[in-house]
Amino acid sequence: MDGGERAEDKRKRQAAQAVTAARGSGGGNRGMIAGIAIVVVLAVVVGVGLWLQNRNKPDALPVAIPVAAAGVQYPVSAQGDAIVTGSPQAPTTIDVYEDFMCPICGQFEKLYHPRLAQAAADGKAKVVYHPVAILDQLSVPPGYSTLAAGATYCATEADIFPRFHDSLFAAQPAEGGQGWTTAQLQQLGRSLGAGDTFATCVKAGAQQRVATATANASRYISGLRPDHRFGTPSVVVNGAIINISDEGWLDQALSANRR
Amino acid sequence: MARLSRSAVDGLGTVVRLGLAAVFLVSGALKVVDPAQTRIAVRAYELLPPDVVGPVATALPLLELVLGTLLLVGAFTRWVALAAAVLLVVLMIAVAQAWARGLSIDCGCFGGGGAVAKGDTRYPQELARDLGTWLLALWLVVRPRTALSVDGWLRADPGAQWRVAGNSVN
Repeated sequence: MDGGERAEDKRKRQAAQAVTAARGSGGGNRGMIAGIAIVVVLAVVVGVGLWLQNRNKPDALPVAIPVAAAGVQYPVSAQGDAIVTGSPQAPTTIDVYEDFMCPICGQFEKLYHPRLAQAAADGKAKVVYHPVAILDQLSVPPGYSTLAAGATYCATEADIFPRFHDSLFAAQPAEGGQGWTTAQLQQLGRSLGAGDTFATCVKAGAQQRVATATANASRYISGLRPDHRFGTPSVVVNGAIINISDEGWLDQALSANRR
Repeated sequence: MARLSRSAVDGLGTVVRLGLAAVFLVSGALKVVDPAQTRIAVRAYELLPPDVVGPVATALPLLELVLGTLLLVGAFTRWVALAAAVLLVVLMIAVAQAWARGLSIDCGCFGGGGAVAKGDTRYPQELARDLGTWLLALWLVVRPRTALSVDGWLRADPGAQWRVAGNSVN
């Protein structure tokens, strides 16, 4: 080891000692260091938190409700508070209770609607839709459930129920977010070929009718369920409440025909 | 019962502190990433006027994250644990009143929340879990001294002035 290296070592050792000494005698500085570090860390935590909370603000919905593609054709008729699809003589009756704001109803529609529509078209089932409004508080502003349910009555009268219904579920507003407006629902109707009668009907709304339909549905469904509750979606096959989390329910309902 | 040495109890305290920190960080993080769901969860308690639901749903997860972070690093442990204990009492009261009024909601304690089917409420479990968490906080209020903490680092500093802030239990 030559002299240069030794001097280098010595210098390093002295530097290390100096650092140690500075740390040791840093005394009162620790409070300040800790204080600053904590403030910085908390600022980052709160900042990231606020960013996360604002990141997924429901974007303004598109100007027009996307129109769902036409599916299979089936007869539609209004019957009191219900919308009857398929042949009234079909061997199986499937009653579907839905709220247009309910995310599980949206999932239900995705999973089962094509087959329900097919069954209605084939005359295998009479599929009866009961639009209800139990989630009015979950839209901003409140009331989308009632508005949408009322509009489906208008759509049934205007003979555009299937695609109107399908469009609303395909482009379902997020729970807790902004709902479609009267103007947007009117526009959807126009896109599907409905006239001014439809627009007037949607604007008039159907608060009383929807409220009555919801109350009736609630009484009926809670009477069928062992826990006396009403929620959406609820499905009744030939008068018996169905557990839709049991995925085979539709096959069973349709295969019962063959007996 | 064998007497535990002071450093062993400090170590146990560290586990308590980190456990409590994890509870608050996880619950805060799960709420903060889903603000819409958090609003639904807060609203479901039917305690607050509509205008207040939004601010509470925004502030609560941030408060949880702040408490969790301070517990993680072990700064102001006694006071942070006290704040955590008070918050937990408030949350337990909220859950208990929902139970007593027959609301059927999920507490939304760790994300989620909102209305659930009548048979799907889990009030006893939720309250038991909150009580357990509250006991962790209580430990730290009574005995805030833990290993591997900012408080400890300051305590080891001869010139530190934070002692007066009540962080040291010597």
